[in-house]
Amino acid sequence: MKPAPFEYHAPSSASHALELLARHGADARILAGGQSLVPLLNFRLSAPAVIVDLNRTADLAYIKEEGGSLRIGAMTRQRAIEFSALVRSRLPLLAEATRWVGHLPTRTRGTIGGSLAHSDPAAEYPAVVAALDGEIAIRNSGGERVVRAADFFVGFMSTALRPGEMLTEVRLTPPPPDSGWAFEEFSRRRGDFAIVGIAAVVAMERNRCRMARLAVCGAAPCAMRLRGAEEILEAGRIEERSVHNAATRAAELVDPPSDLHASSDYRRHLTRVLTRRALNRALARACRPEAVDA
Amino acid sequence: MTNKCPTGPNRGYACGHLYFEMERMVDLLAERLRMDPAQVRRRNFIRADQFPYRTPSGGVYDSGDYAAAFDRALEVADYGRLREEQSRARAAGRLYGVGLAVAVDPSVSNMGYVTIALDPKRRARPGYLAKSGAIESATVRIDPLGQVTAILGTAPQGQGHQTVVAQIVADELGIAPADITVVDEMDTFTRVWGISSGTYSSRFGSVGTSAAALAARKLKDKLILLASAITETPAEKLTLADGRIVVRGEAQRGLTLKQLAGRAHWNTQSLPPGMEPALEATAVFGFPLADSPDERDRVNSSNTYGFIAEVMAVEVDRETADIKILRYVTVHDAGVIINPAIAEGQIMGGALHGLGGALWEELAYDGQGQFLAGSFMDYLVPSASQAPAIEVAHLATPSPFTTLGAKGLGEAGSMTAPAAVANAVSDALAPLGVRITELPITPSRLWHLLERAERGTR
Repeated sequence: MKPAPFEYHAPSSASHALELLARHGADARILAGGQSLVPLLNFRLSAPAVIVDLNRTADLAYIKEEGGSLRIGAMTRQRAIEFSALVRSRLPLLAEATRWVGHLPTRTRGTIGGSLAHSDPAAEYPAVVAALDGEIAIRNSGGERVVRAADFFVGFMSTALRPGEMLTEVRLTPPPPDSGWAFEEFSRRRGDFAIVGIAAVVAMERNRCRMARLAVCGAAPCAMRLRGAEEILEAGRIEERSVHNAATRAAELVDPPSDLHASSDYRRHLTRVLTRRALNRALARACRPEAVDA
Repeated sequence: MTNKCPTGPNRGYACGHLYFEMERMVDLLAERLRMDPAQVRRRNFIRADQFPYRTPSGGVYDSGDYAAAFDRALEVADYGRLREEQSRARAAGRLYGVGLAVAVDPSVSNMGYVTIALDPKRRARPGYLAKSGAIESATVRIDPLGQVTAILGTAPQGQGHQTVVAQIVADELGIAPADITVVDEMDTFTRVWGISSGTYSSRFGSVGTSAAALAARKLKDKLILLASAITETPAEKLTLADGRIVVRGEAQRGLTLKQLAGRAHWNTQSLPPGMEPALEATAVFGFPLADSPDERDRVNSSNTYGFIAEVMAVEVDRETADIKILRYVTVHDAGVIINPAIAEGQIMGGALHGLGGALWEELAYDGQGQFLAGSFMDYLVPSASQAPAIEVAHLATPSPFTTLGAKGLGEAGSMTAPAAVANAVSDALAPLGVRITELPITPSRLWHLLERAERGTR
């Protein structure tokens, strides 16, 4: 199919885009890399009156370090993140997870801002940003507000974004140097959306876990932190038993949907298995000799 | 009544389903008899000295050496070592399985089989006209400047007929494949064709190549007669090589194809008495054993019958139920292989198609009859990144019934891969008593089977 007719604008800057969004309000949809929106338009699952195409904006694609955190412009392509030396050294979890985002051609077009704003329940980036406790900068023609990841993803394909607003930047603070990380995913075919994905970050102090962050995709209406499981890890010594208990708790915290590709029970089971695998890899990376192997 | 999609023809026309059931049954038999599944299969093959072999249902299997093809597959896969690996893996608690699948790979439908749709009593009535036959046509012509053109009736959709026909005609006329223009577009107003013409049922490898070779041979015979008259040399002393017709043993004596073509087109009065002007030959190859069904519905429903033998090794992740294909060996007997690269391409495509049906592709519906796989986001077709390493080998028992001894092979692993996967996964899960009875084997489905089995044994 072809999309329903729409009015098309291709602003050359973020401020021009914001003017257009202010003018058209809820009638407008933002086109970023188009890897989700274009199929939705073609299937006519989405039929906005106005499309504001950000692909010609010059000021929304960047990766820079500022005030101890990495700032990634909304129009930064996933492929640029995959190959960024800065991301690899400061946010290796994001680099690792990017390998699971779609395929090479889709990553070449797809953007981090688009992925977060679309908030597909099975997408990888929302889980990574949740696990890194990231901040999301949102602008409208009047100014900027910053929302924490935990408050940004609010439900099935819905976010804190309001009409007239645009996600402009993601701010991610690298975890402390002694931490470990891992992204685990199970999908039907390589490059498909996750059946379940787990992002894990652990910061260690001798044999205790100072900080644990776990986020899941594919098993909830939107990316979700698994705080109850994190608490188990932060409560005592890290050993095989605590990893097992945290993974079991993670599976209890989700209430996954059933669909053609996986039953709810299977997704819940995968949440447990992948949490354990992610934690084991993250702990091994956190340079703990007694860490259990994945 | 149903609103579900009815089964429709697809690569290997239902053979994937047929062999899934048949080959699973052979494995169940082996299990019951406590025999190696390879042994059960080997004992039941038609012997090489029984070909052409008439089946109870009227089929005539043209040629084959099933045991040799099967042994080749076991040898390439190193079946004995795979079984040793399996013992080690099982001892370590891993789910490792080896699956076998063999299939007769029929090609070229006999139009006679359409007749079976009618009751034999109705067919026996006076005035009933039976159907039969499997034909294909080709034309080869040479223009006044000696340019050779071949025109096909096969209507391909990308199977490489141009390449293969250029090879065949080049071999017959002693010129280079690059010097031949092959016209493969189809227009029933301007082409020679028959009711069974077309690219389906792996027809090209068998009857398509036969028609092209026969047309080229007809034209070659005419060229030799013409050259014989011009050079006053007996026809049997002439041969075609390097774009010329020369006297055997006297390479300097002869005419170029261009010289002959010029004479044939510009000076038709000089042709030998009785020779039809123009350098053009059309051949319609009719398969010799394509009769109508008899009163007991026995019919040779296809024309050539290839053979496939496959060995697959898989490992199932006990936790995620993910299936990993570790080895996939596929051996084909398609008679004489005319173009190995095209044959291999067909085999790879057929294998991946079969794997799609085994592991991913499903026209799924929910309990209310709502279709769930309406786009390629949900109807999962495997792509190159899902392809395991596929090891291809051949055995060639030429068909006695086709001009070049070739048979079709375009449907290939689409028939056998589902059975090979199901047998390998069932073998991997044998310690848990899980048997695969349904395809595709999705990880979610398989995990539920594992869960039930493990709960049952606890």
